[in-house]
Amino acid sequence: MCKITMKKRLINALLGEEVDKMPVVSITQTGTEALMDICDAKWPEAHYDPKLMAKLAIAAHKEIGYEAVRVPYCLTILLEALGCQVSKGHKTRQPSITSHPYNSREPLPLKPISNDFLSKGRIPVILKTIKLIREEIGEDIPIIAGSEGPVTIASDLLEVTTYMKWFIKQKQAVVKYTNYGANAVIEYANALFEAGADVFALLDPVASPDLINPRDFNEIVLPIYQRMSKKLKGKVVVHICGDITGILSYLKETGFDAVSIEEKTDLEKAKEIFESKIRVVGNVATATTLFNGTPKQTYDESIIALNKGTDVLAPGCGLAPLSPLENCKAMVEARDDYFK
Amino acid sequence: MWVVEVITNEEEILKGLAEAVIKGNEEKSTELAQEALKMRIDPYDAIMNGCSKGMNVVSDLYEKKEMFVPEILLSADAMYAALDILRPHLKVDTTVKKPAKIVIGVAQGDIHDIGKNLVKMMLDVAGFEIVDLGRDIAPEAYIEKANEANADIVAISALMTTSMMNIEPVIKGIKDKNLKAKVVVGGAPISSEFAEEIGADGYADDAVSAVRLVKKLMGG
Repeated sequence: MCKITMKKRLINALLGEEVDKMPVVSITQTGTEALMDICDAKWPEAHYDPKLMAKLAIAAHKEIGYEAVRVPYCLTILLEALGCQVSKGHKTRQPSITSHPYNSREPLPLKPISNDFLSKGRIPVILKTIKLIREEIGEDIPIIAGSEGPVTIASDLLEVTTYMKWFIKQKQAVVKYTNYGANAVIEYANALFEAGADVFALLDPVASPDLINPRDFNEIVLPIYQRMSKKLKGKVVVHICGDITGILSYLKETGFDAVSIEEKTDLEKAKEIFESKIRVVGNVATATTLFNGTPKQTYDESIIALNKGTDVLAPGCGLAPLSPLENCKAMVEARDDYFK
Repeated sequence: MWVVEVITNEEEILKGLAEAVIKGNEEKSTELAQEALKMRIDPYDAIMNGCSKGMNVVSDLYEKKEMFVPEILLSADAMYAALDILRPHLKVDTTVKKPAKIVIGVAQGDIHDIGKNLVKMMLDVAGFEIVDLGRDIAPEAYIEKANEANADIVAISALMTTSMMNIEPVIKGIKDKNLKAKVVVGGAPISSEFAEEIGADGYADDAVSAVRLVKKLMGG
């Protein structure tokens, strides 16, 4: 097989087609303090300035060796555009949501998503960043752009405890709010593709069985994901945290290209359930290994993930900002050795 | 005849209370708690053999993954509605040993408090006295409160790799000040190895095992 570009390798892997070796990327956030110091683009500024955001994102590709450039570093872009207040965080703390505009005992009417939605909040920053990255890295390296998914959006518009209770008490409202989140994601993600993103990472931590009953996931969330997958004009990887074994069989039916899992979900089990219908991305442990472990542990876990048949080697969740660079690099080294 | 009927009613009310908690029916648990007082059922009995019993079933179903967070949140609402009515009527019994006191909170820099709230509720219903500091709590605040309340346990949860770093200073502070409180930790990114590394006295991976852990540490 002749040498293929990193972009082609990632796309092929996500489609389950032949590759020379499994790609090693991060589907989730890549900003670490070590990288910020190397490239002199730091949080919180790098969440707001396209040049700094691009610089830090490219650093994860150049310094660690991940075979993609991934933006942004938080799960607040769409929520901010939809009316939530955001705290900026600091150098090693991500921005977070501080207000819930629709929090109420009874469902409130949702403001329609405006025609100028793509000019709201930091959406223009992200679109600009993707263009800058593309100019800098050329066509052969893939760009991954991520955002909070519809369940997470709905949970923060309302406040997560209210949203949870409504799964039982106000099912119709849950469907309505989650669909509203989905509409925002569809519009935003397609704009990301248009700006030059190759892969969209749909991050929906609140959809985890840690919080939601798998039965409700099947009944309410799956149809919404399916609707999204029909409208999204590019490759989509959905990422859900925690032990998601209980919803793997539903995720298989989403129509997305791949599912990103963390170490709490068994990769072999996921492969077995997915058959050839959807791919698996993962699942080196971010807290215990990449952050708190050693390069050796990271290397070994990467080999295990490859042995278990991961389609794309990746951290199981967002990189902890204080993760040592040597640990992150050990993933790439393991992949290279594996395919020597 | 009259006596028999009262006993049957009392049993029915306790059973009804447990059922209302399991089903997360707040209206029903409120109504039955009021009914229990009216019937002069010992509020302690109504709590232990009604609400707590129901919550034990909830814990079981949660462990078996037959119940999930949304259902438990409604059960918690139903339980607290009843407790709010019953607790003011509890007779103070000075002969009974005081329950262990637990200071609980979410680590600094972290606002994810669903897990903490579940642990708090399970401990509450297991009979412990809880001081809830809330979320995004600075290490100093845990130490200060543990000292002031003479706490037996400090329970801290963290859901982020950044906030989990803010637990160790609490443990260090408690040791430096020679406080008696034992520190237990939990939350998604935390493992038992990490807990051990930072010197925690225990680790639990969910709300039900947190209760088990605390009971064990309290020698019960």
